[in-house]
Amino acid sequence: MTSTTAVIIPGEQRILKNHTSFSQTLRNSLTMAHRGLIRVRRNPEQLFDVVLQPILFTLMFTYLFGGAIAGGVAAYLPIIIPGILAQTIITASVVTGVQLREDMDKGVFNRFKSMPIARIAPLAGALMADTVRYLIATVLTFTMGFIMGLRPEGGAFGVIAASLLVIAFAWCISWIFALFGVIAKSASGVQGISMIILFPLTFLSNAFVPVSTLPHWLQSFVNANPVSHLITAIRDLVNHGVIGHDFWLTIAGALVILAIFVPLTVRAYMRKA
Amino acid sequence: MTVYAIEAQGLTKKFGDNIAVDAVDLKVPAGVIYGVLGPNGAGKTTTINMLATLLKPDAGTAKIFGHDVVHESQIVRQLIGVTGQYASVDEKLSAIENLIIFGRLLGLSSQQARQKAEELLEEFGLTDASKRPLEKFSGGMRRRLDLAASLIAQPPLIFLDEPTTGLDPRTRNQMWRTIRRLVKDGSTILLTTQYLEEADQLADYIAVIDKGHVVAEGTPNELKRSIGVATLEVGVSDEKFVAKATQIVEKVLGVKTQNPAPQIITAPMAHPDIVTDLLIALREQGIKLDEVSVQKPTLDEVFFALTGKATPKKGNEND
Repeated sequence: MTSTTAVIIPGEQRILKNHTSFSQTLRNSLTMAHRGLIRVRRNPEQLFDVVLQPILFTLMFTYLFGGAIAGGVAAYLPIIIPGILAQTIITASVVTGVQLREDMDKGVFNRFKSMPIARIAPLAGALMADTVRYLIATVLTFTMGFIMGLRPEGGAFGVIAASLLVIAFAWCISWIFALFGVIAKSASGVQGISMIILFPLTFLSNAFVPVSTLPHWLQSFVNANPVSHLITAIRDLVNHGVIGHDFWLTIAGALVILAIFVPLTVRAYMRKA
Repeated sequence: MTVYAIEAQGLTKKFGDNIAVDAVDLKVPAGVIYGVLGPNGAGKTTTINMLATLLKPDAGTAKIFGHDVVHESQIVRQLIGVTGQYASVDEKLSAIENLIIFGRLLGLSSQQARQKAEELLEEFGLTDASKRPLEKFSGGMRRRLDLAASLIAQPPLIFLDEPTTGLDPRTRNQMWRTIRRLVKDGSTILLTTQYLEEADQLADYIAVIDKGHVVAEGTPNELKRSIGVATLEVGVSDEKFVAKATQIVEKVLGVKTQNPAPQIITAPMAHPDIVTDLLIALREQGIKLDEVSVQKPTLDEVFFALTGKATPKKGNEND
């Protein structure tokens, strides 16, 4: 080669490695999360669900069930706010799957696949950016609770710890819906499948009513439902400021979900070229 | 022994019963423009996708600068830039945001990424539009941005999938200039195209691909010689001269002629120089002509010559 301006190093003279380090994976994921946040800033309507649901549900369910179940709104708030928080956050994580599907249909995902970046980064980043959505939903739910008279016994520690727990949990289960997002043909398909799973999980829990009022056979389902454990863990933190048995169960459950669904989702994502 | 930029052997991909790419062999030396020419559905994009690690081959192997696309995929990705048929940039972001994100992903610091992005935008004439959302970009601007995004890492091998399809002639010429400059700087380029003219203008080597097979390979000149060449078309003003004119054409050019219409004579034209002799001979015999034109071989004729069948109708197959 006699070219004097050659800025491009020939292929065979480059020193390259075939694996991606953990720090690169983290860096790539954070960059992808940054991209997700720019997108949200451009399209604030993506946040409708996490803004409207906490406000509407808190108002609706508290006044609807408060008197019947707890004898009054003030007594019901410590029960219902953790319930609505869990429900909102899980619904929000479904939307993650739907939006991921829409995003993946765009040509830019092909470029990500052709770049020397961590394979998991486009997914992890998208899901990380969505924690902002969960944060908004969490803050709004607690704010509505305060406005309506909730005074958490657990104090600031309880509320913050509960918020972190619920956001982390949402991030973990969003991998389930991300898998649907990756394998489904269309965004509305993701919505459909996810709702079928979502409704029994969120309503057949201890979110709205005391478990003791339920028929016996339903009690066993509700007690086994991981969402019930999450809600109990939130109540322990918010109302008593304690990290209870259910907190650890929830963490363990979330880790199991991650261990199963991260590999499944990444593999499905990689196969779907 | 020289290392090829691309060396593929028996590369095969099936989608269900449809064999999209069937045992394709390619050898692309470094520093050239290699054109893959074929109609819609020939398997061009699928071939690129396998070489660019986006699709796993069902059979065969491919190496990029000696690195296997399946087993050393992450190395291969450090050596290539891919510009797809559909702009692979984020519609929701501005041009500069796109380039910065890609730069960051490639390991540049945020300052380096911004600097690189600004350089590339300048180079591709997109500085004025750098902050505008891409939804307002024209097709040509989008292609340019897409190519700019592929150049951030200065890869030694660039894949361009139909880089000029749908572009107006001016933008197309700009794209051609950019492609030539990249090769001058030391890149190797593999581009796919449906246009013979484009392959002819740009490529040092051409592979003609049809239904997943490479049906011909060579330099543009070799290929054109094998296809037959341009066609000379002579329109005779009076029907009574046609027989005489045919005789003269056949004699001067030394080829067989055809009569697609009563007063039209066509003949393959291997050497443009003898057309002068032909025109003089016709005038000496007092034969008046309505028109003389030269038709270059079209992709249809290339395909007809190479495969013995017409190109598939549009819309029947997807690539």
